[in-house]
Amino acid sequence: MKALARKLEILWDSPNLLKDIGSLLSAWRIGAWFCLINMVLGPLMATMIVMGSIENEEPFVQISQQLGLGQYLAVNLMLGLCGVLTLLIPLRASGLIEGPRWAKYFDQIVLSGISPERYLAGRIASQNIFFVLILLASMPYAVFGLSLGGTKFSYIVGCLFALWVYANLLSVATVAAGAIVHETGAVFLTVTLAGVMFGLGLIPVAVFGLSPTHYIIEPFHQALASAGKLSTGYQFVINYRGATYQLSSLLLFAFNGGLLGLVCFLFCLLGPVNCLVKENSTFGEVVMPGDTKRKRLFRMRFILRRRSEVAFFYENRNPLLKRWEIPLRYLPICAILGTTLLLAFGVAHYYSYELDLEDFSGLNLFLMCAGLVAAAFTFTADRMTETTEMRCGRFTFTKGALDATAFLFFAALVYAIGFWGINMREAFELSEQRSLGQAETAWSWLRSPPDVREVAYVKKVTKLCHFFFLLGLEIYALIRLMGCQFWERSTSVFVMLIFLLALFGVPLGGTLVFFSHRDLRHLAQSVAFISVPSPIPLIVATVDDYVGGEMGRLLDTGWYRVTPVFHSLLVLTLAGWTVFCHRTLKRARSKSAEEKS
Amino acid sequence: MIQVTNLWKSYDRLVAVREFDLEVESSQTVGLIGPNGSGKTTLLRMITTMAKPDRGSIQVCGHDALHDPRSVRRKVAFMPAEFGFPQDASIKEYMEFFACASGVPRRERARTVDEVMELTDLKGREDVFIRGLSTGNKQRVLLAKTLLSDPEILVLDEPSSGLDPRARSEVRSLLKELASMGKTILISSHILADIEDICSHICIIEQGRRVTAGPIEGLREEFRTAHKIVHLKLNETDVDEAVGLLSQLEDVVECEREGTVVHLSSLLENCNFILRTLIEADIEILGMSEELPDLEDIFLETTKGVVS
Repeated sequence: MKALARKLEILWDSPNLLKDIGSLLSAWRIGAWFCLINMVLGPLMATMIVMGSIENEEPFVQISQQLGLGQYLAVNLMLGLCGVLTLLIPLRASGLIEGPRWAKYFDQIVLSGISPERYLAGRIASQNIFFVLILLASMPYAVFGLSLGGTKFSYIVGCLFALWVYANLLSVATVAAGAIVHETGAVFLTVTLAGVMFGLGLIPVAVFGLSPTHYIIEPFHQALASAGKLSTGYQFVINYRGATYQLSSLLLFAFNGGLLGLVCFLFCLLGPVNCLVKENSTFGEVVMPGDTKRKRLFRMRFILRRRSEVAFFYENRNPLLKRWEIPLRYLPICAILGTTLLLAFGVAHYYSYELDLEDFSGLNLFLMCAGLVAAAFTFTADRMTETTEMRCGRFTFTKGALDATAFLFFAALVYAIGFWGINMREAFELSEQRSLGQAETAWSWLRSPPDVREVAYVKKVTKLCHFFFLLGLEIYALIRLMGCQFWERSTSVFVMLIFLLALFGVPLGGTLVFFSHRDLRHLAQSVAFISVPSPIPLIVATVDDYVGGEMGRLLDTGWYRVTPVFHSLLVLTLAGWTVFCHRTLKRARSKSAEEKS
Repeated sequence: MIQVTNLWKSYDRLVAVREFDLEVESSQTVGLIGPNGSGKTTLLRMITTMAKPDRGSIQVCGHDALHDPRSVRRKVAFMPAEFGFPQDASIKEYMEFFACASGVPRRERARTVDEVMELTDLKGREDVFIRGLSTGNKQRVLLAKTLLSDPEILVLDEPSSGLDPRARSEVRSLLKELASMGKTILISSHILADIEDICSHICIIEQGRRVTAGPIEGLREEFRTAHKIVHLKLNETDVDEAVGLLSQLEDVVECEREGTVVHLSSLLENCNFILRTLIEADIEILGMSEELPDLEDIFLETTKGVVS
């Protein structure tokens, strides 16, 4: 118990907490925050009152009449607070406004020997005080709503709990992102993701348990459902052995938010992959003094300097974290990515027979592409970290090797699920075809019976499935190759996108020029093969069976045999080149260290 | 306390520190002197784990600075020559922030901050914002912060640069007081008089190499010139006679008069022969001093003034 208390002490005995309380609780700042929050909430509440009072058939009027004005205002207030938190908490937690930032005197912080968790926990904990301040600023509206009557006390308590979890989730996510990317980037990332979740939570579909908005807006959904304008799809319901269980959206959000918060905090403890690179010279091995004279240096390769300085800071972390860095870093990422993919595919396949063949195929291929792209972007390194060694107990591996393994695992997983989904559909189509005109099948009420054309379509989609897997490997090999050349991942991704655009778009564009000009059309067939590198004709051939004319004939005459062969060769070349670059980089680093010695 | 062995550090093609060895015993005050760009700051940053050496080892209180920087940071406090401050903090807030960061227990924090501020003459200025302080006072605040964690080793990079004579004298007294408290101090400075006043040992560095190191007294003896320089204070009536007598002596290389003082350089180990000659001639000697090489002489003697 004492050990736990000591661990938790980092929350309230952090220098950042002390400093933030000091800066937040000054009279003028409290006043400024009150003004700002009221400037947001005031107009919002006024608008909602007006919308809920005008006598017509608008849903807001119906909702306010169903719920009572007090409860109607409570829901709006909570939504407003949720929006305010989404914007302000990341800004404060990152230190962009108020709060201490990682600059100016960072060397002194590093040298103080403070552990990253203690330093960062203060930032997270101090947002709770800001949260209380926001709640206090919204008190007049809460009192006004309560005075109108009809407000449910349990709902208010539930919302406050959800918002508290949300505020902490936002702050820990921002701080975790801030340890890896620049503060501005961290805020942008967090606000964008939280904004998307905020919006998705408003939709009356019971799949978004990552935003408190689903719980907050539930009274609106209930009101619309009781007025017969909404089905009960907004509720989280599980059917198990005939019994129906309704999940509380509040508890679901609290569970998801808590879990995600813990993962984010784990990344706060781990920090970025250690990137003290000898080859990187001044920027890689020195914590620069935090003076303001070196503005030029701040502009020059700022990201690199900052990353290496943050790596120095993370030398203060517990040595156990370094010893078990591989499982601690990769398991949560793999768990999150794997769960997301399995959930997405699971939902798509569960409802597959309610979808048209084209829709299901499109969805299946989209999920496959999304999975491959997500894995490719998650498991990439840059020049700073490509050959960085990480430990798992006594074993040491380079980040590049670990990333490649993880990507290949996910690529295989996504490919297997996608391929399996299409094949299941093919088997179903064939069985449907056999029983065509005979006994009524389990699915025939959902859709019209399939025909030969549809079975052929499934076969084409299966081929496309193989081809997309190939493209996934190609993109990954390319992004890793670029990673060996550039210091920053963003640069390598940008260059890779330009390369892909050139590879996919330019040959196709060139071919289309011949097709579109009457004078050149006679040459079209002979030059059409310059568009072989582009996968677009192949996708067009699959999606549209009625591609006519010379283009159609070209597609039919084995186009999608030539293109995959070209891309297979490209994948092999890129993969070989990537491995060569990785080895060269590793050799160059050890040689540079030896030369210095 | 600090043991540096065969240390190398380079920035791209510039070798900042090479083949550097240094040993600092407990409670010693060691001055690190060298021309601009000689690698002093780089060396200090490597010792304090703020830079990684290319090769060699650094042991601080038995901990390896390269592999266990965490433990080293708990033992060492570093005052850099260039530093930044939070713009929106008063002196007390700044001190409390770093007292907490340095791991001073919560119950002792207020007392520790008070004591350190008392020691550095900052008492009574707790609520002054740091951004409004003069350079000297900022340096004083930084030094106070350095002392918060009661470190065993203090590493100071040019603590007196940019200070007026009074502030310099105050910093000097403070460092002497800390040395008397048994702290191990490693200090780099261009102000040789300060080093001479504060330190018991020096280490001269040039082009990243250690030129010489040892106790100041020992180095003085080592660098004493072959010609002993003696200054004699005589009565005005005796000066001419004394100059005449001393100039005739075989072992006296040079003899000059300057008012009532006679400056002479001799090849002899001691001054007995000179004194005997004057006493036998019944010349009254009012005063005598022997000129020993100071730190500046040693510095100029050992360094070539090459900037790397």
